[in-house]
Amino acid sequence: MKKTKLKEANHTTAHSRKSTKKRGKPAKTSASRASRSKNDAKASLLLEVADLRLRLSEAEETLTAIRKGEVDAVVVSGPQGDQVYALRGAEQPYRILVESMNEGALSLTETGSIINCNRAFANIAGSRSGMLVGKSFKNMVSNKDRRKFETFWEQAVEVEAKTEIELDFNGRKIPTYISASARMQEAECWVFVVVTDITERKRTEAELSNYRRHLERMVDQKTEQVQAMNEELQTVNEELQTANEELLATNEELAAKTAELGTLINSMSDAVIYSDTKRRILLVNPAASTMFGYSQDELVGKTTGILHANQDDFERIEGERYKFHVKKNQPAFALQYHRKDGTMFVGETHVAPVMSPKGAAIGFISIHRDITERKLAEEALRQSEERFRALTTASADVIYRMSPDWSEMYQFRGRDFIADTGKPNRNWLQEYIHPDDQSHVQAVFNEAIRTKSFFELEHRVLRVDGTLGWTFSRAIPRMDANGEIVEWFGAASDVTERKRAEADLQKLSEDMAARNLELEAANKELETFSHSVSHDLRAPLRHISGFAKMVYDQYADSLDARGKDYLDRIKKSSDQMSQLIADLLRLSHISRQDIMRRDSDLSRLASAAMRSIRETAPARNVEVIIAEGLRAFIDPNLMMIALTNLFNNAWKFTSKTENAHIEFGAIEKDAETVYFVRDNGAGFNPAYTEQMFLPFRRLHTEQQFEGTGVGLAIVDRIIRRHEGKVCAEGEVDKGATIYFTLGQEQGLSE
Amino acid sequence: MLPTILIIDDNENDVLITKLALVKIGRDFRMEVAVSGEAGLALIRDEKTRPTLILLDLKMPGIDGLQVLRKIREDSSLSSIPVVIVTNSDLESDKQASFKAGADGFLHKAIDLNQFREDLECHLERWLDGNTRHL
Repeated sequence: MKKTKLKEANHTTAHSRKSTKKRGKPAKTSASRASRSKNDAKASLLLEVADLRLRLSEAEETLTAIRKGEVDAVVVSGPQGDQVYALRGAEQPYRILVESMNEGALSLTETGSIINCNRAFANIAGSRSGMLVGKSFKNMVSNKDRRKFETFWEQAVEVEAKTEIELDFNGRKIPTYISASARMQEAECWVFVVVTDITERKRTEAELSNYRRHLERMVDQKTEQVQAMNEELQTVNEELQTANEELLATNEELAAKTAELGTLINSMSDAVIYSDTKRRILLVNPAASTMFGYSQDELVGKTTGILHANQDDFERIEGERYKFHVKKNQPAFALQYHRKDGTMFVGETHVAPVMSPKGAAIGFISIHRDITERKLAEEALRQSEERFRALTTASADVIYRMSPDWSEMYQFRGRDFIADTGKPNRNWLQEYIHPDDQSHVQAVFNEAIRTKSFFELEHRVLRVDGTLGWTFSRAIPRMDANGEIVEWFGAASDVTERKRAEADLQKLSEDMAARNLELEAANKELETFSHSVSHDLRAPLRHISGFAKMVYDQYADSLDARGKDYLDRIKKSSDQMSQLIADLLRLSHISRQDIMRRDSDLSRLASAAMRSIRETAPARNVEVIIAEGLRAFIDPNLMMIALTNLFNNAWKFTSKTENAHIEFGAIEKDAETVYFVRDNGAGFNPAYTEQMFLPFRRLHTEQQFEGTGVGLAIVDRIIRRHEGKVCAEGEVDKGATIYFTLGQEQGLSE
Repeated sequence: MLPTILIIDDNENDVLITKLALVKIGRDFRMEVAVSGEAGLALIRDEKTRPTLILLDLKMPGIDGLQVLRKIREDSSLSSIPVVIVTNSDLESDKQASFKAGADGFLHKAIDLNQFREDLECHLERWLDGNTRHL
């Protein structure tokens, strides 16, 4: 293979197969550059020329060789090394190449006439290459680019040039890019021109340009927009900055609030349960654990159904409460729940749905409170109120309530005797209370208010039938924790009848007292009368007795036995009458005398009385027993008389008894001290027990025992004046016992 | 001169009994009788008929015994004459009133005449034997 080498001098050119330009280095290049001092320039020039000549000749050889087809390949040495170009059928293939090129290729004369052109150019020109040979290329240039072409051509002829030129083929304007280079070919200057139809390119360029302009416009717009946006962004940034700070602050607040909320929920005594949309428990507070008896772990994940005592509740309330569309502020409801240990309680429950800010359902919050105690308390209260109601209904009294200052009265039950009022009555004092009593009633309740004690008063009241009645009213204050009166609760009963009865009783009592006084006066009169009569009877009696005696004394001789007997009878009768009168006087004396009781030695009195009686007949042998240490609350004078009478009787009625026995003592019977005087004498017929204490009732004849029968009457009277009672026991010939009691240990003395 | 005993009593029976009792005592004196307080006072006031001893009844119509007694005691010329109340009454109150009014004795007209006479005798002994009253 024959290879030829070409040296690259200043230019490094890379040739591709597609490249249409084969560029060498024209001879005039170095020469046109010389501008230095003539000597140097000349010298170098000469060198260059010599070099060029050498190369030229080489080139020519090469070219000739190539043309002839003697060369197979061209090696171009450059700084990058050697490039090998294979040449095949130099001229022919070259021609084919040129003909098959896309670009138009022309060879022109120095003046611009077309010598050769390829098919591509012919296409561009819209003709055939044959037709174009000889034509002036210059004339193909558009008018507008003529001048440009001139400049171009000058340059091209010299060296080479490239430019854009618009060609005009009979009105068909084609924008092209032409590059031309001049070459000396057999002493002729040939200009080789390559014409590239850049219509497409132009259009593309134009499009591009448009597009670019558009883009530029857009870019400008966009830039403006971006600027504006930038400014906005700036502002937004600032705002964002501020917002960020606020957000930080809000975040802190939120954190704090969340912590607060957390503490709150955790310290609540009510159970708080947060569950999801399927009512599965997500969160519980400690109170929930305590209330239901499960640990937090045991609750989380389970549905709230495990809390319900009744599983139906779980199903049922789902429909009622656990809906997200339910209005807020649904009322609380009470259900039975059970704890882990099985015990049950009643819980008051609030349920609220939780929504996300976008309105999506998240879950439910339920709050439970154990109201078992409250329920019990409510029930107890209800029962208590029921009882109160029943009590006021059952009560026959009017139940009323007063404001703390008694200005308003509230009625609970009217009953019949005061008209019922539904509202508080501010006028009650004027309406119900008699005018005469109003100030007193007021005074009493004011005093009660002042002393914070109860009000109690009987007063007149206007009844529902319009009549005036009496009421007994009692009210007690109810105080608050500070001891201040909150209200008064009172009951008033109708005591009209009672008052009437009392009045009647009072009247009766007064009448009786009056009667009593009358009776006493009458009695006293009677006593006085009998006393004075008795007294007055004594004088004539004395006369009778006295003169009878005188007759007896002075005329005994003249009198026969009968006469003396008659006189004797007169005397005896007078004496008897005298005794009667004396007894009467004694008896009345007992009634008239003031009684003065004091604690006295009864035993001593009895002994003294007995002693006096013994002295009247000291010869008699009577056993007397007097109990010792007997004391009593008595009038000693009167009691002395009584005892004397009793002992006298005993002494008298034992006068015919051998081993006479008289006893004075006391026994306890039914918590009372009963004194007695007992003898074993003649006794008496028990049929006459009642009568024997009446004055002048004698149970024995004068023959049996003397006496006027007033002794026991005197005893009876004395004992009765001691508020005691006297009675007797006895049998004929078996003795008698007189018992007596003394009323009122201490105290009343008449 | 014989002492004079003046009996002032409105009841003739009582007067008779008293007289008989005085007689039976057996001492020497004259007896005068006034049947009323006024008559008695007249006799007392008259020097000629002034008694040595007065036996005065209490209960008399007109001026009663106590009034007579007081009048006697008021009069200084008469106040030395001893007065013994002779009465039916045996009341303590009458007794005390009598002594308070200036009586020198109180004698109950006992039914037992012997007793009556004995008591009367005591008074006579006291006053007829020249004892003067303490004024």
